Amino acid sequence: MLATHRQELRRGTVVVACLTVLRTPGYGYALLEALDAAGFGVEANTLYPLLRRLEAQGLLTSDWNTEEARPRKFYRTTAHGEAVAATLREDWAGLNAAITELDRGGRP
Amino acid sequence: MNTLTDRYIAAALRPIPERQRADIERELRASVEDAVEARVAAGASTAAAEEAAVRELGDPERLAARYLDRPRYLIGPAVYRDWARLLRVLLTTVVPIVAVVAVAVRTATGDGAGDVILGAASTALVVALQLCFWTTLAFAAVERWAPGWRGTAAEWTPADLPEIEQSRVAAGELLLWVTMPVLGIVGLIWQQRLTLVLDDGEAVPLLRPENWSFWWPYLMVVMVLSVALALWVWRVGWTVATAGVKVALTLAFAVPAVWLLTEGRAFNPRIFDLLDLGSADRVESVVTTVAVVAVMAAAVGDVIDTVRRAFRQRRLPCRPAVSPWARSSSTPRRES
Repeated sequence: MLATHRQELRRGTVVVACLTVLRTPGYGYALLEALDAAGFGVEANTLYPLLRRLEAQGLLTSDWNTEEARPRKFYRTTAHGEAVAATLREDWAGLNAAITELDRGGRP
Repeated sequence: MNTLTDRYIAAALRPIPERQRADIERELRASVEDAVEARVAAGASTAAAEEAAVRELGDPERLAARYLDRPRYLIGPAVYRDWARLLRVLLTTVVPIVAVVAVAVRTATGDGAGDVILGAASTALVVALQLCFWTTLAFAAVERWAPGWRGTAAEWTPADLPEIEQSRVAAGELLLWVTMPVLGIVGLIWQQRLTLVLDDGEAVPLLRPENWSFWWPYLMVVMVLSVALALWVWRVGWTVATAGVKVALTLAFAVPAVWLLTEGRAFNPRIFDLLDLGSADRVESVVTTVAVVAVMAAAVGDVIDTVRRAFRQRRLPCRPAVSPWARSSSTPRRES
């Protein structure tokens, strides 16, 4: 039950995390590792379809990089994506402040 | 021989339409190979790394469903309530009507009791299944191809709130409920002693006299119990227990009555000869059919009404039960 609530919390934040990290172009597996290292336990089978969905929504663009032996699809945040990410980050900061305030208010 | 990676990618790509397949394949293959490479660099064997990478991605069909963003349910939360409500209304109205009509038709064609009941039951079952299927299909189609439709959920207003139903039985209803069985008992006795039909000055009973050995007394007992139940419900109100007993009594009356009627053992055969309305068999068949339909319709309607009332009571917020016979001596009277 706790796991469900934690998953809900994480699910709400993975989009803003992706949009923020992808200001620098990145590809699927590297992004997965970066998010993992940052503490976001996103699963591969969630992340890869999510990147496509965000691209379809116009928040990311993609490019095939064929320089190396293994061709990789690089994603990058668009201007629109950056604007959305900024709004989400503001919301996040606001929620963080609100919860901190509630927590403080709860103590005598 | 295909590697694990090849097999996984083939399985994941199968539901994906041709247009998107090539791109997803390239990307997925690169991702899996990256994952394997990372694990091998951390010290695992290639085979173990490949298996771990594929296992981490999980069921390929689920992955494909996520790529396609298809709903993974038949009927979603937006339309679920409407589906459930419609199905409930259809099943509680159409199926009983069909059952009664089926019984009527089979009785009119002169089938025995067993055939009547089995035939009606199978017809009712088939109709119920068809209703479930077509309703579900329609709503699944709405879910998939009209996703914006929210049914009645969007239009609720406080004016839609139903009134709270009283759990007590109203006096008028109680009177009716007690009077009917009493009339029934009186009627049973009366038709034996004095009837409308005389044969050479001798009273001819309407109902078959042989049944006085068991069936008519049995029905009288059921009717007496019904009166007792009425008083009990008046005292206690509607609960699941009282509703269950009422349903049992209704069935205890209706099932033998229908059986006797369809077996041709309810009416006195001499009556039909004496009434002289035409062919005795046809008259008997018509009267029997009408009686069976009446009994079944009344019983089915009664059962549905009782069940609905009991379920509505269960959902009410808890209110302290006040017995109509309790004296309010504990509450102080206000002096004016």
